[in-house]
Amino acid sequence: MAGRNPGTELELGWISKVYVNRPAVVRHAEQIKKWKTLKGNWQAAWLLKAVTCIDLTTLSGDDTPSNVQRLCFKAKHPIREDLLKALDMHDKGITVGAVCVYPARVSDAVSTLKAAGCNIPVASVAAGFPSGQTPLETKLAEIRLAVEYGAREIDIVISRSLVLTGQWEGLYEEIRLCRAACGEAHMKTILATGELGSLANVYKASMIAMMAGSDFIKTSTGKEVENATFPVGIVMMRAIKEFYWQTGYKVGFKPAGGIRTAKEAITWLMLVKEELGVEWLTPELFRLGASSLLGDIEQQIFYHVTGSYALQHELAMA
Amino acid sequence: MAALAALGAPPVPEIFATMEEGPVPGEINAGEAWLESHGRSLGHFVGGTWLKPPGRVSLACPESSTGRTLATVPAGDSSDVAVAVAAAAAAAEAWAGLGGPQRGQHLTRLAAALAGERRGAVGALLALAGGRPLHRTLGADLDLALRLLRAPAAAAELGPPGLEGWTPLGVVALVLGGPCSLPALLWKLGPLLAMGNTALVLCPAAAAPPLLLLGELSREGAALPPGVLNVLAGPLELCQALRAHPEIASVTFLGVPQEELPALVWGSPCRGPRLGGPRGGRVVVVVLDSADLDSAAAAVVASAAAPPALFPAGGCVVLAQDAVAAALEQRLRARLGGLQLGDPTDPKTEVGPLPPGTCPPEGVVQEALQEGAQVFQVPLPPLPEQEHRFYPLTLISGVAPTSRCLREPAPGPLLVLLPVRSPTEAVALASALPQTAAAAVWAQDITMALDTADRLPQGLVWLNALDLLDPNGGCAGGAADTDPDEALREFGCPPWEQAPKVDELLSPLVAVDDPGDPELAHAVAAARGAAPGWGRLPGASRARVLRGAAAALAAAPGTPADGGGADGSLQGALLRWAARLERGGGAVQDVPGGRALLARRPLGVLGVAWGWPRPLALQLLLPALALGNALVVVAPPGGAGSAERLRKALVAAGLPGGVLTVLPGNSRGSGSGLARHHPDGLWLCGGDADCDWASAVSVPRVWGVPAGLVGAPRQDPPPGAERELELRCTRPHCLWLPGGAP
Repeated sequence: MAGRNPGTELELGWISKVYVNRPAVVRHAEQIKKWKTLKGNWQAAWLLKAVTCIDLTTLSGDDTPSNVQRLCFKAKHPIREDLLKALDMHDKGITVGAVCVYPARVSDAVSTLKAAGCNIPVASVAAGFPSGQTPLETKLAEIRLAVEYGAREIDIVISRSLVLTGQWEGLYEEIRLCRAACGEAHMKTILATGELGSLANVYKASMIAMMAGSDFIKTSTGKEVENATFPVGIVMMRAIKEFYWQTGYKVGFKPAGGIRTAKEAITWLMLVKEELGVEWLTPELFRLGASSLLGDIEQQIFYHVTGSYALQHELAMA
Repeated sequence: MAALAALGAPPVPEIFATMEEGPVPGEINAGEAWLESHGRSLGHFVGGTWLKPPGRVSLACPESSTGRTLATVPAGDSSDVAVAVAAAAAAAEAWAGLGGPQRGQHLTRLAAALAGERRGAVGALLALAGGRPLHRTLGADLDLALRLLRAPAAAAELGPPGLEGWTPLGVVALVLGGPCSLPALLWKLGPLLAMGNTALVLCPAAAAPPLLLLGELSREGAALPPGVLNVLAGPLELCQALRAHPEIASVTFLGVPQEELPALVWGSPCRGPRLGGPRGGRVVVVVLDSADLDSAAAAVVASAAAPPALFPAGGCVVLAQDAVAAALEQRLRARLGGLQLGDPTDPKTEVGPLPPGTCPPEGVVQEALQEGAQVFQVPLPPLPEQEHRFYPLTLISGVAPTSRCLREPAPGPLLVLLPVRSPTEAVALASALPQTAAAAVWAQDITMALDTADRLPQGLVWLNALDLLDPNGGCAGGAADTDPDEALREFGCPPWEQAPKVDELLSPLVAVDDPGDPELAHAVAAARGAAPGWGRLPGASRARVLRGAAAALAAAPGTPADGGGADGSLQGALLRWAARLERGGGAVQDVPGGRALLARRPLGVLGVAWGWPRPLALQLLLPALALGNALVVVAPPGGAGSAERLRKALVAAGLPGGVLTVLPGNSRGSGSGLARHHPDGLWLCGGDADCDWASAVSVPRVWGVPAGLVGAPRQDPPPGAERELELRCTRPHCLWLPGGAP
């Protein structure tokens, strides 16, 4: 990932004149959803692109080494080999973007992937995921541990209270410290947009997170009531574009939570292409946080290749 | 996999690398299929069936993007017009006799037919012939078209308030100047049919296929009885045949260039054909410094790609406050580059070819370049055909208001960006731009947004939105300043059309010369200066003036003590209109995505030419004055004394000078004299106050006042007349406030 975003000084001027008109953004999102469809090989290629951008995720209280292990194998073989061969994509290294787990499961994932001879990064949520309501010291310690366990990507959550009370300097400092704690590991900053109150706050929090050196900004933890919605995504991507215009650094975007169908995944890719441009359609700059999405995509690809839908046992479970 | 190979798609790895979106393949174009089913040889649709007169020259219906011949239609001639008018006339009585509720149900069935399984064919034909992208013709355009049918259908079913006793006109002709969008046609056709008229649509061959399909649809499931809707393809010159036909009650022109109108229309503007329909026009977008720039840019670019359905071929002028102009331009450029231009029948296409019958705006763009403007153009993608009618998306910035790209609306995907220093300057510029149909204000600061929106002269203003249209929200507000209420009136004959029997002696006309041009110019200039102040006064303040004048007239010497006589009824009228002002008006309508505030605004300067052989009816002037207009009246000197008394009483009560001027004159054509000074509205009272079309086209609203409306002296005006007068001396102002919806 050349040109990692080093962050900037805190430029409050960039967020002092931020206005977001919700009805207009919502209408824009609806128009995109309505008219875009892909067919045939185009659909297959876009679905495979979506696969390479998936952060295959399990974030449950009952995660154990065994289901994490299963997830890792699925991450390495997201689509059945013969299906890929039929599409002439078997030698293109189609794996998911990363495996995303809780800090306590990082070692399991890392060792499984290592044993499988696979270079997929392990991402760990950290910093008091999902609520962010832990002391800063704990957050930083958690990040350091996750990195120590072998996580190459850290998905931190922000303190929503800092946004809701308008403490932008405090938010900047907190994220900056997290970034320092991440070291070489790439940092995705979860804004938890469903809890930020307004789209303008989403835009401002996005800008602050990027100024503080985030490599990615991410919509939600998947635990809020409102997850990744298209209007929120549009606003975050517009902030990413503005940051790119201001600094020349490309920050990645990760919608997460509630993305379950292949159709939704393609709409997200379309939206990224429209708002940010085709150069953002790579795992270095775009990820989809999802757990059950992959199953639907594989099903669609199965149908595309064979002309019929797969029986349950024909596709390996994650 | 066999199906995939048939698509000729590139291999998956290649697409994976480029992330192209590819075409939407496979489906047979429903429009082409319909044309094929007719052997690509259509006829006219008359009397509920196809009319294919033998031995006629065939006219080609070209595809908008390539010029390829889609189908042929027989060139209509006067004999076809005669057949069509006869069919429409034969159906007229039964259709009118059905009654509103029945007619409403018929129109609802027509809407259902349009929304049914044939919608694909309608959408595809509109894209093929008109060049609007399929995602519009099958999406927003069709939705709006259905609303424009269902709203008058509902009005007919419920019985429109205030239209009691109105009768249909008879056979009404709609003349299309060029291919027009379906909503633009239905915006007139719906009210026309709902009022109980039968229609003859005359369209050029290029626009014919979708309209002929509409004709065919009108017979499906017996949506409309035969002969109610007739579609005739033929050249614009067929208007001559319409002109000669005694059974045509009214002609409405849609999409005919303004400069061609005088050659086509005849008679007097008040008694001959009615002018109507979108005269084209641009959308002005004011972007203030508290705007959501990304959303504004996205909306502007979308409307440059496909202009609002009722204002086709307009283009878009963006006035951006200095502080945000550069940031907005950056966003506009980025978004223009991402639009997909191409075959309008591909659902992914966002920009289609130039509208048929228009020239590429190359001259305007070159001129702007020579004036030192910055012109940003998105290069055209590789297009398969040599002969194509595409024009690249263009953004012009750095021009002055004197530049031709701002003086003349140019067709095509053209944006002009102009920085302004303040909201006030934006309003001034937006007011001075010729041919604007609607406006939008983008600002999150609600006070600033409302202040600005309120001062814009356009009849339709969107707040933080663009291109939202609905009949409930005064959707046609910008196009010809007609609201749905007025749309029905346009095609009805009021009960007071006939002059009342007057048993008193008409005052002999004293021959005087008409006021000279300098005199008129002086009066109109004074009125123009006084109109804004008077019009912006709160209704209660204007009511005070009227009541003061009534009191002064009552106290004046020479007034009969019993309050009778002409002055007595004048006092009564003054008090009545004062009361109406106190009550106020306006409405809030729910519209998709939010709500619209509907208000009525004064026209501004209203010219009144009095030609009836009796003294000027002062009661006629009162609503126009009361509702905030400034009046220049030309009337014979008979009864001038009472006019002068009224004026003095009003001025004494606080009417600003210049708001009411009465000039003596009565020769034929006094209306033309007034029209040449470009008032905002013109009332022609009686045949002697005539006006020629060449003068009238510059006046937005011309009204031939029916003799029966004024009533005889000492006689109450007919019921419903006050509402009619109110509508005639005001224009709708619709402000869309999106938001609140989930």
